[in-house]
Amino acid sequence: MLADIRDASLRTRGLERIAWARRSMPVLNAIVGELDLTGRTVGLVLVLEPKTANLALTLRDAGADVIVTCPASETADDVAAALVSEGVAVLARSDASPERDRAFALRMLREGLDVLADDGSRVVRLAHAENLLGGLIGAAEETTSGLRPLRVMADRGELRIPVLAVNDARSKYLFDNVHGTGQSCVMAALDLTGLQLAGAVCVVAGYGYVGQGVARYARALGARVVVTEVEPFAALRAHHEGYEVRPLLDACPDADLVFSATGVAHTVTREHLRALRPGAVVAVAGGVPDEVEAGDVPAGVTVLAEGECVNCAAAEGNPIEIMDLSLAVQALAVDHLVRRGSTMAPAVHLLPEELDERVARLKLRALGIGLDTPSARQREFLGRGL
Amino acid sequence: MSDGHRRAQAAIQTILRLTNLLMAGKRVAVIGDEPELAARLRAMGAQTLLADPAAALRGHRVLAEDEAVALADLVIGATEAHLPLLRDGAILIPAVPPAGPPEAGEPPEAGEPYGTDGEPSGTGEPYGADGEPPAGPSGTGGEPSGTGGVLAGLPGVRVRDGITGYRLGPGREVFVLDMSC
Repeated sequence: MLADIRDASLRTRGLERIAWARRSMPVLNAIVGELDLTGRTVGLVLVLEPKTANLALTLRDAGADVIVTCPASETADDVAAALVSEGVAVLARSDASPERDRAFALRMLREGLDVLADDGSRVVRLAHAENLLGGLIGAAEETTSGLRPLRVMADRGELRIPVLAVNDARSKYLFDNVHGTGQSCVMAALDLTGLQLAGAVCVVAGYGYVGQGVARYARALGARVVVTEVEPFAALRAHHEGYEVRPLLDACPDADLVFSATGVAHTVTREHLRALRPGAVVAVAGGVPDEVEAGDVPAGVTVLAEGECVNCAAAEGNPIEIMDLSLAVQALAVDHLVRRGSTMAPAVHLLPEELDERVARLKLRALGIGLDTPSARQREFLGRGL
Repeated sequence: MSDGHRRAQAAIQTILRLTNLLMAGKRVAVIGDEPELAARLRAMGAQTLLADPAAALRGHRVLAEDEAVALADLVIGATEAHLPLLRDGAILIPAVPPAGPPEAGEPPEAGEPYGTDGEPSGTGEPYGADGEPPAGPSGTGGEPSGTGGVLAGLPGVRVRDGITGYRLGPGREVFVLDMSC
């Protein structure tokens, strides 16, 4: 079995953390029996932490040979050790250089994958660039920022495999991007800085799903939240939800804490950084490289986690219950690609509606939440189209 | 800034850091007078359960303390008197630690047995009044950090950093957070 990890002796702590997460992952537990991945090789490229480890174990339990890689900055060595002790191949260590991370990804691809579950589309793009697609049936992509380049590739006719847009499943983005990233990025920034949010001014650049969540949790803890936007509907929406909306450069001098939540490079520029007052803190929620422009950060200004997604790079990542939804979608996407991928065009596809809805219904069931059923009269009303 | 807001934020940070759980949608019983904490939790999307009737005017659900504890996913200000009432999987936060600079407070020692800083029970009901006898040997007192403490005579089992599990009976396990972590 492939294994290149930092310290196998850390497995006990990793197993503890994986087991704690499993307690709050009822959806993943419920679908494991529905998957059939017997004899398939599945590559997982996800932030390597206790929740994603449970996805790896679920796919293993469904019969797959699972190979996990993860960049150094997102690798928990104890979880890597725990997975190896459970029979999962892991190529990930927190002390790897960028060259070694790349070598891990190439080694995984050369093993001959049936399906790849990617995060940020890094390995899908690498497989295209290095001509290592081999017999890859398709890939599932987890993030907004990973899908963007894949859609560009599809438009140019360069995408050679079908990709399932896990991010665009409603049971993912309505919760993971809003509540998962929102809560965890705000809490990670507070853990790292000791900032008291009550009475502080928090500027949120971007009012997409992630920005909405960050704004909501910062306000919940007593911050005055200012939203900045480039898109008129998002700006109006923020205004109607009670946030001040101003241009970023105008808001910077007031800010105690700035979150970039756009997923677009060069959101927080050097000019913005210079407009901040001493003591101000900048963090990236979600994130792409260069979202905060690197280099000459003014004295007194702090960029958390070196401008990487603050909740992945500096804390334990998104909350467990939220990742239960996202990873259940991932597992169903992997299974769908195994069953149907060979008939799918090389393009970015949405997850079939019924699989998405199944995740939401399983979560409601686990929570003990009941739904109403439309009555015959209501169905008749709807059928009339009036 | 009032002390209540500092305590509230610090407590929420600690709970979420230790558990990696989501606050939105959690049923949280807040025992004792913690209005700022209850307000913050509610704003984060928790369904807050309070015994004070006036709390209904601030969007909290008002229940008798025993009912709140029996329904809660998280119990803040939990005491041993609440043990017989808890759901399987409930998470207990013994008391909200004092706020302020880290060195100013008097956080309990890691691994110190639960309840030794004398947090009074809201009801004054002694543990075991509900007929649940302390199970097993009463333990050896303060175990070293990492092996869990002792809760009402029950031996604790380390779950992960800062979380100790206690088995109250068949299929019923609760978790105590070490808020000094």
